[in-house]
Amino acid sequence: MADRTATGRLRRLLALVPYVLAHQGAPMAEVAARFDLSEKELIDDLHLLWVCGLPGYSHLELIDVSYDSGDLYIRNADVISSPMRLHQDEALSLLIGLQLLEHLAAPEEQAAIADLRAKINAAAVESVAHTSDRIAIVATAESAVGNTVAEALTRSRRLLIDYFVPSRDEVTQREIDPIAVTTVDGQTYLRAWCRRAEAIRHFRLDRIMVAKIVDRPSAPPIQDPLVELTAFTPSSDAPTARLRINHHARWLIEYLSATIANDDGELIDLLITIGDEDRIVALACQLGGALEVLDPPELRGRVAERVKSTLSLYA
Amino acid sequence: MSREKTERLLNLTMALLGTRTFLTKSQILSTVAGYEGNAESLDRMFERDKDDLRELGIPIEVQATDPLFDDEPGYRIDRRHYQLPELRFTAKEMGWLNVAAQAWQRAALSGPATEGLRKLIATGAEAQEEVEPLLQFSTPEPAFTALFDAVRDRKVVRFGYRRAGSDVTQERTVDPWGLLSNSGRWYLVGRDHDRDQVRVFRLSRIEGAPSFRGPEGGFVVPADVDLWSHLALLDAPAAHRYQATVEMRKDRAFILRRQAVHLQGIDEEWDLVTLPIRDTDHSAREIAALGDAVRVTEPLELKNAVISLLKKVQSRHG
Repeated sequence: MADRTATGRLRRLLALVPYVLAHQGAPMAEVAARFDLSEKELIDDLHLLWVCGLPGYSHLELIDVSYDSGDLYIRNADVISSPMRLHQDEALSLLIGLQLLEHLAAPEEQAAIADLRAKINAAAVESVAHTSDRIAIVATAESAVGNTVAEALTRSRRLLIDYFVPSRDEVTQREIDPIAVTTVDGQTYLRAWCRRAEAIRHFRLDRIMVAKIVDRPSAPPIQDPLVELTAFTPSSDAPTARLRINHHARWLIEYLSATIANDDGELIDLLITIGDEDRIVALACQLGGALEVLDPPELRGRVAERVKSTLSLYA
Repeated sequence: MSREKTERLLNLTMALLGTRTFLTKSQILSTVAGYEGNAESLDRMFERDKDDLRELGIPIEVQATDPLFDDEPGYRIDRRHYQLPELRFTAKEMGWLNVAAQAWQRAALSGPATEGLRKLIATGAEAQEEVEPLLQFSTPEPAFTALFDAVRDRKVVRFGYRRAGSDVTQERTVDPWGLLSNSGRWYLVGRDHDRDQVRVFRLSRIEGAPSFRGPEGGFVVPADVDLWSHLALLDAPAAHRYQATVEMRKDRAFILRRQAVHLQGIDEEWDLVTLPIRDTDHSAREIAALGDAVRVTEPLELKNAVISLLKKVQSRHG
C-alpha cells in the first residue's frame, strides 16, 4: 500500500529518484514493484516530480521524467541524487536483525556481519549504536543445532534431522528443506518442507536432537513460504473426547482448546478434539487424577493400562 | 491538498540542498514554489514544513545570527549530513540486509526496515530478488511500539503491570534501559522508580498503553549495565537440589535423556541414568508422563511422588 501522507510520499520520492538515477531505463513494472506501488500509483508520483525542481522552475531547473517507452528515465535531479541517510528507526530495525544474524552465523562470517553493522550505523542520521545495544533479540536453540540450521538456511541446503516427538516418546529421522525460523508462543520453530510427510511441518528447535547438512539444494515445493503456523490445530472432523477436570486445573481449558460441557464449580466436563491420543494419555498420567478421561472408553482404557504397566515396575 | 504539500516540501528540500549560502525565510517564501497566502499563514506553513522535514530526518541547519544586527536567521541543508555516505555493499552483504529487513515483515518495525533497505538499494547496490524469510520477528505485545520509542529516546514511562499469577494491576514508573526478546517474548529491563531497583517486565503483562513521563533523554543508562544478566536472573533455574537415579528403556524417554549427567547401559533393555532434580513435584510429573519407559530407583522421595501420582490416576480410571 502506498503511503499517501505528504511526508510519507516525500520520503518515497527522495528514495525513488536516486534509485532511478542509479538504474536508468529500468522497466516501470520493476520500479513499481520495488516501491510496493501499482504502476498507476508510480505514474502519479512521477507526475508530481515533473513540477518540482530548483527555484526558477524553468525547464532548466525542473526535474525531467520520461517513461514513454515503458522504461523509466529521470534527469536534472542532481541535488537529490543520493538517498537520504538512514532515519533512526530504519537503522535500528536493520541493526537488530543483523545482530541476531551475527549471533546465528558461522564463526567465519561473524566478523563480516559485525563490519556490516558498523557500516549501517555510519549511514544513520546520528549514531544509533548505543541504542541498538539495548534492543536485542535472541533465538534460543541448542547451539549446535541452531548453528547447523542457520547454515542450512543461509546456504539453502537440506537437513537430515533426528526429531523427538514427545507424545509418542520416539525419535524419527526426516529429510527436510528448511524455509525459515520463527517464534510462536515463546518457542522457536523451524518451518520446513518435510520430505517424509510431503507437507510443511514446524519443528521445535529444542526437539531437534541432531541436525546434519545434506549437500543437496533445499527446494521446498510451495508457493507461499509464509504459511501460517496451523500445524497444531487438529482438523475439525477428528473424533472428540470427554474429559473431567478439577476446578483448580481450569488452565487446561485453554491449553486443550476445549469447550465446557458442564461446570458445577467443583468438577468441569470438557469436550476436546482428539488430535493426538498419546498426548492425552501422557497428560492424564502426569496430572495425577486432576484429569479423568470419561469418553471414549478405549482412550480411558489406554490411560488405565498405561498406569497399570507403570505401577507394575514398582511392585 | 496533500499532493500540493508534497510538492512544496520537495521544492523546499531541493532549494535548501541546492543553495551554498543560507537562505532567509523571506527569500524562501518568495522564491520556493508553493508558498502562497497571507503573511501570517505563510509563516505558520513554513514552520510546519520545517518540522515535517526534520521529522523525516532531514537535517536543516540554522545560521547563527549576530545579536548586534537585526539579522533574519538563514536556513540550508548540508549535503554531507543529508545524504548517505559513499557505501558499497557486496552481494553477500545485501543478502544479509535483506534478511534483516524481511525479519520485521510481520512485526512492529516493518515500515522503517523496508524504507531503510530501499535507501540502500537506491545507492545502486545489487538488490536480491527473492529472499527466503530466514528470520521472522514478532511483536504481538501492544506495548511494544511505545516502549521502543521510550528506550530509543530515553523517556521515562508509566504503565499498568500485572505480576505473574496475580490479577492485580499496579502502576509502575520505569527508566526503560532496554528491550530484549528471548524466544519470541519481549521483556523490558529498567529501573523501577518506586522500588529504586532494576526490574524486568514481561511486555505481555503490561495493561493498556504506556504513557511517557518527562522529556527525551530523561535518564542515563548506567554505562556498565548488562541487560542480559538481569534477564538471566529472571529465568535462572534454581540450584539443583539433588541427583536421582532412574532406569530408562533404551530408545525411550528422550526428553529426560537430554538432562542426564551420567548414563550407562544395564542390559539389552535398560539404561541407568543420573538426573539432576530441582523440583520433586515437577520431575515426578515429567516421569509419570513417560509411563513404563522410566522407573525411579532413588531417592525414595521422587519414587514415592511418582507412585502417588499414578495411584491417583488409577483411582479415577479404575
